[in-house]
Amino acid sequence: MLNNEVIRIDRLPVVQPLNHQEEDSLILEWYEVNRTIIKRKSMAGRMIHLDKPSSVVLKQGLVIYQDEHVVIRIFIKPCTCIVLHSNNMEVVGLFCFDVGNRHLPIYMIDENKIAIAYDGRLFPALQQKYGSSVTLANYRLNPSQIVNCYGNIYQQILKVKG
Amino acid sequence: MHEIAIVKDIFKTLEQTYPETYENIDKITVQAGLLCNIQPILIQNAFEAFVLEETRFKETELEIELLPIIAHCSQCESQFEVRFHKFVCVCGQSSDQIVQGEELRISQVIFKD
Repeated sequence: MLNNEVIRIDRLPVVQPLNHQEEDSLILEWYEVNRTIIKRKSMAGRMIHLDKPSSVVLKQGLVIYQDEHVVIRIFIKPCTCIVLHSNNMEVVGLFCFDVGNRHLPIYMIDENKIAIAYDGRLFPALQQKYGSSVTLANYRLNPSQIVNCYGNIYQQILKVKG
Repeated sequence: MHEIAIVKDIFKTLEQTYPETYENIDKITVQAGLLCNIQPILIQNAFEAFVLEETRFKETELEIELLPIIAHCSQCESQFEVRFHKFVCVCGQSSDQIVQGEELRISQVIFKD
């Protein structure tokens, strides 16, 4: 049963075995996963004040609250995405370079597809350059799919050691 | 790519508009159109970096509302939402008369009680 109490979350729970609790969701846009303060109602209407450590990224399905009655998970809304579908690594590399220069996160949707969130200015520019390899489709952009730049980290480690 | 400057501008605007109370802001809502050339995640991340330095605002929320692209059709004199970058009205007429989508504005400010 819902009451008007605010659920305050300042750390993520150690998830206990589920025991037929009600499932509830905190719905986020794809670009809200790094937010530290979020005050909004859950899907079922519970008022949630989330004040998370900045190092925690809110991934799809992450349990942010659990008690004997309810489990609250993160739900990231799907959005329109610019998708590059290519088996050509050179094309993929160039695309990542173009998008990376704008500091935008790139998501690996599956083996041959990478995606970024739709932007009305960026899409025509990318489509003009990459042609029919670039399309639009709806996907959920989950932070666990972000392509990380390991090369740069490796180079930084070498620099420190050197 | 100048998102930190944009976030600083937001706070500067709020300071000028609410000089007495701007440090008591609980929540700021910013509307960003899909044609405004600003990516919401970069604004959101820039805000998180800003409040790390300006700790007096660490309890402040920034919420970004993405605005869809709306265009005007001169054939049927109505407005339609541009989905999947198709600037075509349901009547079949194409249009690039943008009614909404280029905005970047502070739409709401909520103060602490």
